[in-house]
Amino acid sequence: MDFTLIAQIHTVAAFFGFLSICAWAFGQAPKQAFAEAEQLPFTDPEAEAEKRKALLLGR
Amino acid sequence: MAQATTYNDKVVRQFAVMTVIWGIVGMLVGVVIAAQLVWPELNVAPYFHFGRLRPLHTNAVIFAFGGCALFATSYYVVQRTCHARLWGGPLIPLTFWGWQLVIVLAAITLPLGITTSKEYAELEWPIDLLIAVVWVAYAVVFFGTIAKRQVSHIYVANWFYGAFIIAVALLHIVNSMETPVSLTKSYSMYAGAQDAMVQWWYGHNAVGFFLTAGFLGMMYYFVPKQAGRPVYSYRLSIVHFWALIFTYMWAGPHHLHYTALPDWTQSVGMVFSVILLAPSWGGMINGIMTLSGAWHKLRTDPILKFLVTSLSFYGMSTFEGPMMAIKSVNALSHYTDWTIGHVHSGALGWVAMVSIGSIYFLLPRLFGRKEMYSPELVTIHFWMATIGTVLYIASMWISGVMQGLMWRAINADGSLAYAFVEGVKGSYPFWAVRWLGGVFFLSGMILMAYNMFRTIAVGKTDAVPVLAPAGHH
Repeated sequence: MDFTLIAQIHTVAAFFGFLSICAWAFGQAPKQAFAEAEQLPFTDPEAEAEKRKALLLGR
Repeated sequence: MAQATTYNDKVVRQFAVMTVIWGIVGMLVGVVIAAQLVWPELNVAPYFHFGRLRPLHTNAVIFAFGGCALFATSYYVVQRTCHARLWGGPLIPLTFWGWQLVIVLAAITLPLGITTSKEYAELEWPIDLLIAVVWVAYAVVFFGTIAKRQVSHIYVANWFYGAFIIAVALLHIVNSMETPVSLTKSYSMYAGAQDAMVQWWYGHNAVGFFLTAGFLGMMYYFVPKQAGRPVYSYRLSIVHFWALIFTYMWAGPHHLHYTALPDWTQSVGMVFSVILLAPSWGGMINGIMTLSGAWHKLRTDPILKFLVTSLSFYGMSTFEGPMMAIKSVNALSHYTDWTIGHVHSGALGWVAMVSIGSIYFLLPRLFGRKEMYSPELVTIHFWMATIGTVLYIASMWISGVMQGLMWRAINADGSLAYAFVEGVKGSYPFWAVRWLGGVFFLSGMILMAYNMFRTIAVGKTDAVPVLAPAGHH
């Protein structure tokens, strides 16, 4: 097996790997995980403090 | 409170402050070399002429200004989104002091003419080794922190930062393979067209991973934070990440169109450059659409103005780049000022603006303040930066297209219609406008430094406790 063939197989495999990732990302399975993940920037101490302050002030 | 339960914000503060300082230094050198093109008598040989100061400018703005911004924001983001203190003990200050040493050594050696002559990789082998050590320490700290995170998911910004760290290590090590002949001189291990190919594989991916992936990490954290809304589509961010990773590595040959590089390699580079438009715009749209329902904030929030304008310039430059990679367009644009305009559309409009917006977000939080000392000055800075960027890129576009058309113009007998010096003469007014644009941008940075030091003067540096997120204990 020469290097060119390996490179071709690798390229095609990488392309199908990418298509698989797309199919997975737009499928139903990770929906809940993504919904949790997108909230991560809003769960740091500063954001938590803001939320608690808003709750205390009844906003 | 025990040290292990607080975030390590000290190193974030250090890098954030140095981002502004190195930004001023790097942009000042840029303004000086822009002036040298307009007023050639400003070239002072041998240490301070254009040829030696130009690499100092590029190294300072990319690796000092951009690098410090990436260190600062990645260390902040990885701690906050992983709910974990930075891991790595003495490696953490090593990354700060080691990186500053690299910058100082670059500032000394480049004006002395000590250079490998490889663009964006000019530093000689002892500094290359130091960079490798600092970068490995950075990777250990960053991925060590991710490994001890308290949440199961790794937030998408960290994926971009992680890819940037890994790819830059790979690029730096492969492109810096060289044979030292003295302490200050080495020769590349590659030769001829292969050397050029490796150099521009490095050069383009330095843009792709240092100047794009890392700053997209910033975008995916700071735009949602400042807008107060989660990213528009998390699943699109996953596809954006992998599409960028799969595509970027192939695009380097577009820097070598019409050279000794094999023609098929140039064509592959062109095709993948055009394909890159899709992930780039996917990411840009994802960032801008994050403001859906929060557009009114743009009226009053100068930080958001910086962030959203940076995304607009990202969209423009990632459209322009693939177009310029098409061979027939490149035949006109290559070696002209159009390329310089394109680069600064990305560097000033995208990289600098997203960095400035992110640092403005961080500074009050890092120094215990509700907001910057003067939010009005942030707004003035935004307009100065925007005007400066537009003056810069518009003048370079016009100058570049004019140069390309003059160089290819021929008389009926096939002789060149213009001598090269006529193109230079015609470029002078545009170079003067470019210098003015640089002065605007630099002046904005000086305002930022003033605002930063006044914020620090009235601020305090309390340790922030690490908080486990609800449902992840």
